Amino acid sequence: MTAPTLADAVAAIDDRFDGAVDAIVAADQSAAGDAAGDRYVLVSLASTCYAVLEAYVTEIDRVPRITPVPHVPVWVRGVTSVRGDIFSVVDMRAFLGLDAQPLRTARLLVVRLLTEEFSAGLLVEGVDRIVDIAADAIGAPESPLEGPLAPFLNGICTIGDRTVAVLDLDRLLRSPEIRQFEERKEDPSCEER
Amino acid sequence: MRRTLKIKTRLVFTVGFVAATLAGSAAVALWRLGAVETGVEQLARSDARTAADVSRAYEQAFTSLRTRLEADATVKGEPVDADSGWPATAARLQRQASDQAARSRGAMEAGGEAVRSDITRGEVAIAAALALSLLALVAVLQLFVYGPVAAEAASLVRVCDALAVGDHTCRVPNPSDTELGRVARALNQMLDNTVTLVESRAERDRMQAAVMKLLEEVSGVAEGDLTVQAEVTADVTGAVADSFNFMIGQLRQIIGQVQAASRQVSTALADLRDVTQKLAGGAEDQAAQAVEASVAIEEMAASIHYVSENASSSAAVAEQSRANAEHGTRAVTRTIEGMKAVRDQVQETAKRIKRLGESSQEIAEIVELIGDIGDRTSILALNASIQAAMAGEAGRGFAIVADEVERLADRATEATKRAGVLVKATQTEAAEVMAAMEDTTREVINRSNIANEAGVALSEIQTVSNRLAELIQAISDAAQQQARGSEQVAKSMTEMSSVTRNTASSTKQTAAAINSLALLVDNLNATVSRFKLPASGGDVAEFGHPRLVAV
Repeated sequence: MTAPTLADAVAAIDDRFDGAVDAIVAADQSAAGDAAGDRYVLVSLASTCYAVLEAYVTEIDRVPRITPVPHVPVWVRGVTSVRGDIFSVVDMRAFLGLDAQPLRTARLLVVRLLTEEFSAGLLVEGVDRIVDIAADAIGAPESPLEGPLAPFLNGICTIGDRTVAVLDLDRLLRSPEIRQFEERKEDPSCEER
Repeated sequence: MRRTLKIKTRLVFTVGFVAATLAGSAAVALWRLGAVETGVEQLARSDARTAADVSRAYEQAFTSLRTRLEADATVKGEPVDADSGWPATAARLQRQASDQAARSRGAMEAGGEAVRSDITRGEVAIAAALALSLLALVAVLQLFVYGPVAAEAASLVRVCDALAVGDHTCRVPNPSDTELGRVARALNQMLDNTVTLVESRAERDRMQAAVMKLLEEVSGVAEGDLTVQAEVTADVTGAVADSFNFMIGQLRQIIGQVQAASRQVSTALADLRDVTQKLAGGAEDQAAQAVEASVAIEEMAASIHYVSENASSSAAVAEQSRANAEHGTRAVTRTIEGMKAVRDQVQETAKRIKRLGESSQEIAEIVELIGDIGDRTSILALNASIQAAMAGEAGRGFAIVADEVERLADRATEATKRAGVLVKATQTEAAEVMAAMEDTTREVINRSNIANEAGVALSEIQTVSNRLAELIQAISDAAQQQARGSEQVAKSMTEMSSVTRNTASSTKQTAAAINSLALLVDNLNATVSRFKLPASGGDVAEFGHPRLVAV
């Protein structure tokens, strides 16, 4: 059973690879006039798919070693260092009020504000892929959104058969919760110094 | 010296002398006196006779007178009175006359007596003289004759007196050599002879009497009276009587035994007759039963034959069973070998599956590694895409490639996930197969044990079947033997039946013989019942013997 499946997989990979070459050629051809949509990173969180603008994401990585810090909410896991940059890590699951769950697919999204020098790490349950979403594809939800992230959502769109919530990272990172946390964040760094 | 003298000589001397001196005087005196006395005697006798005649005449006269007077008185009717009247007077007169006569007779007698006394005195004188002479003579005789002779004679006389009264035991003691002595000796000799003679005769008489008595006593025996008993005396016949008594006793005993035996024979014959009757009946019954038994035995023989056939069939079945058991044993042995092979193969398979599991583990690790690589590739692709986006228009194509790489990485990750699941499933299945294999091995071992037990049981069955076949064969043989035996028994029963018939006829003959015997015993009883036995022996003289009834 294993062998055919592997063979199928290899064949699929071969097909995909061939398909990928064709797609690259096609993308090159269509890239000239087709600049309608923005690129979003699809992340999964609490059984929901969220879309985050790729521009805010500087790096995606596995969950690194996190150093806990005191006097912070439970959703602040601590601080970590990626390629020399030190920033806080927010567990989005805990931020949503759920229990922390170490998953094998969990990813660290290193995000930044485009307008000012601010970086943070967001722990999500998984990163699906990067997609193009047209601006007109994003619409208001039929019913008012609820939950802790509701204030930071731009709207929803449909990709394939999935409904994706578009998260406004700019608003999130500028929110009082994060900022409050950001103020505090300076203290330990001062103390470190 | 005197004893040697002959009596003749002495008598010559003595008697001659005495006779010479006394003969004359004595003779004369005696002669005279004799004459006187004779006269006196005659006188006295005549006087007495006269007086007696007178007295008798008076007596007669007065008697007649008195008689007549009494007769008259009677005629006249007067009472007769002895003391009054005429009769009394006559009686008085009679008494007076009697007294007178008695007085005169006394006077005459007194006179005669005086004369007689005188004569007597003269005789005394003479006698005295003669006595003196005689005394002298006696003295001489005593001295010379009487002394020795008289003594001897006295002895003789004594002996003779004794002999006269029949005493033959008396003897003259010490006889002399004189004639008397010789006489005495001869007398003694004679007496001895006589005694001897008399004694032998008495003995003979006594014996004869005793024999007669004995014969008389035992004469009853001849008539069959055995109650008699001869008197046992001290003489010769005593022994005979004793022997006779003993003989009678023996005879009594024998007769008693004969009677008892005869009675017993009678009783036994009666019993025997009953027994014979029963025997005859029994023989007939036996003959009938023998026939029934023959039938039963024939049925039994048929049954035995049936048993024999069944036993043969059973033997075949037992042989079949044994063969089947042997076959089963071989099959079980093969089964055990097969199970052993299965066990070995299962163990081998288990080993291989274990290795397969280990290989799966390695595969899982590899798959995990691939998955990790895919994961990292995916992350790298995402970052590459981000970096391409940051590069702006220049990185556009790169972004597409990164996209594609990311997709491939996702596919690889998915594939590795599936591979991992498959490997995990394979491992689980391998573990389950291992467990199943172990269960199978255990089961195989158990089955092998069971098969072993079955093999043992089958070999036991084989043994038992062999034994069973032998036993059934033995039963078959025995049944055949029994069949032959029952045929012989049937034959024997037939023979027995004929024998029984013979027995029945023989029994009838026996009954006839018993009747004859009973008659004989009756005769015997009649014969021995003539003998009388004393009642003390318990046997009655006349015993009743059981009469036999003719069969």
